[in-house]
Amino acid sequence: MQIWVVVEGDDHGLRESSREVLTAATTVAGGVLAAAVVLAPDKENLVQEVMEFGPQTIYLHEEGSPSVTGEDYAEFLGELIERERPGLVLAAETQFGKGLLSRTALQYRMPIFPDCLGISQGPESLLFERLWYGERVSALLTSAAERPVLATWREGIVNVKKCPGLNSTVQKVRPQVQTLNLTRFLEEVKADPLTVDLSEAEVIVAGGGGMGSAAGFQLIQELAELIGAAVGGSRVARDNGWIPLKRQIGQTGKTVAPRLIISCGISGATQHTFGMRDAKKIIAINKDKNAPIFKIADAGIVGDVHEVLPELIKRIKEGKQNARPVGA
Amino acid sequence: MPGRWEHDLEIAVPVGFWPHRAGPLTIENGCLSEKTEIVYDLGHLDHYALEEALKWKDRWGVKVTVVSVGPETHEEGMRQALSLGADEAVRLWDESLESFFPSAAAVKARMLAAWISERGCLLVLCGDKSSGSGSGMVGRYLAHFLARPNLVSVIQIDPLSESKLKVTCRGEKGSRLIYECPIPVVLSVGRGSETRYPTLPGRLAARQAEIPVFNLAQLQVEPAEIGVLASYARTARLAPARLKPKKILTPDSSMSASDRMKMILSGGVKKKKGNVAEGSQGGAAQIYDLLRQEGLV
Ligand SMILES: Cc1cc2nc3c(=O)[nH]c(=O)nc-3n(C[C@H](O)[C@H](O)[C@H](O)COP(=O)(O)OP(=O)(O)OC[C@H]3O[C@@H](n4cnc5c(N)ncnc54)[C@H](O)[C@@H]3O)c2cc1C
Repeated sequence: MQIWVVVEGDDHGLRESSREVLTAATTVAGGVLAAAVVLAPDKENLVQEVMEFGPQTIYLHEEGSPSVTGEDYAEFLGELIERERPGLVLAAETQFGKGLLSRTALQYRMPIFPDCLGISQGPESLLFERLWYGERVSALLTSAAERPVLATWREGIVNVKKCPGLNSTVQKVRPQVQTLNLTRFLEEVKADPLTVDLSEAEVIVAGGGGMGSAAGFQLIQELAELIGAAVGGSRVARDNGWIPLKRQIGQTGKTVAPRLIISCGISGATQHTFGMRDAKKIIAINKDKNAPIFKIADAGIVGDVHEVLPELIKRIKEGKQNARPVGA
Repeated sequence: MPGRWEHDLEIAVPVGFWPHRAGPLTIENGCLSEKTEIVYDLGHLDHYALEEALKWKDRWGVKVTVVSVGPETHEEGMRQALSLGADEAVRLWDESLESFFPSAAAVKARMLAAWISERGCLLVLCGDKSSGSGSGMVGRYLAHFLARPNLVSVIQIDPLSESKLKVTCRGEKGSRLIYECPIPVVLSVGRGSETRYPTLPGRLAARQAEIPVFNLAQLQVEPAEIGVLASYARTARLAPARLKPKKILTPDSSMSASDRMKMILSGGVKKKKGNVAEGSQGGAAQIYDLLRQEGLV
């Protein structure tokens, strides 16, 4: 059976959830993926990376636009599936992936299994594993429809493995984008960084044992408020009662994936860094130049947090003052 | 709010009745075991959908009707909804559905669509995901069959005019997405704030209420069409959920042994060659510049 994967990308290239589906789909396909459909702009070597998973064909949207929603591509994907007849088409269980596959399923009357945890070969047909009854029961489902089957794969449960050395042919495509103007998008209201769940925060200021006291930890709060970041911390910060458990980062706390994290007075123990391995940029302040946190930091400052942070806060406040228009 | 609605608008709330999220549940021979006393409840998110509908009833006196596709056992759930304040309850069921229930979201949606279009409910509020198969597809199929727009993860619904709504949905990274959409519409409601408790008069009224049942023939749905929709998904068997798979750090096999060791020891964070600066003045200046690059100051 031919298996396809629809992949997604963003400014940072191929999305991790797409890597996961490519890995999972290759296993289901028994080693060789028939095709990958790339509807994202080719940023940060996205296509190159898709090739490392070895799909035989890559359908590449020449000028993929990230602003188009998944559903807008449903007609394009539906027609492509009708023409090429793969047996199974997979995507990640993301807004884009689910939007695209469920609309395709509805419009082209194809069965869909959303949010799968596994797909295996049963005695007669494929078995799709899903969670039922509030995630307490695992249900194995099959489809008896004589149609291509669509499924989305849950994020964050597959260990990515590439299979380099296979050749892909790239086929450029120009999807007709069909927007359904039934609803009108008005605006997006970003989450308040001070109250957003840590795992969803874009920017985090985190403090550890080096902050010394609850009063010292106030510097973390102040900096976070100034730059619109969420507050996090290490286990030592939690043990001292400076942060609640839901603000602890690490193995026994939250896993975070911010664009930027400023780590202050944190040693960088693996149990802590485990929870921030998906952070894009790490700035660390620590007075010990051998602190392990520096090994993973993009920028490190060897210094006392009680000197560096007040200085930084002063600069930011001055900067804000100077930026204020004259006479305001 | 426009006066017309006070009399005309009927909100349909499709609900399911499922094993309670915290109640006992055992699997035997690939099916739910009847031996344990299963505690049932309205779907977790159906509660929130009903709550949104009841808020509209409180404010504008619209009519709220719960409608459920399910066997007779669902009636208890429908009475639960009535005791919370729903005005009417309707059950859709056909003997022929027994064999593939509850996996067929498309079947449920087709029957709901038949009843809703006949009845003329302009606003449909359902739970984002059922507490049964939890596919989140019923609302989408329903909108498709009714040829209406659909928004998911809805957390707030405000009227803009007689024919337009302002709908707030949960987005990624904790953000809120705001849409304008026309009525009629199907909205899939996500987890919101509080839901209400039943009142005593509500409970008494619910106990007396008549719950009419409609079968395929009465809904004028062809059994053949249901057969096709039912073939989409069939339940092979159930099993106790295995331990949730979790992503672990498995270093790329192409890395050298020492690199793999280092990766494991660093908790998976890639070693970076960032420049390390010393001194508080210079340090603060450096961070300030980085924050400027990121557009944060
Ligand atoms: C099973 C298990 C699970 C765990 N789970 C977690 C977890 O989820 N999250 C977590 O964070 N930890 C976890 N830990 C604990 C972890 O091993 C570390 O003990 C902890 O992360 C250390 O926190 P810290 O770096 O803030 O504090 P410390 O170890 O006290 O380190 C303080 C750091 O601050 C520096 N410093 C001190 N004063 C200053 C100053 N004035 N200016 C600048 N720098 C200064 C020091 O040089 C030092 O590097 C776990 C441990 C175990 C065994």
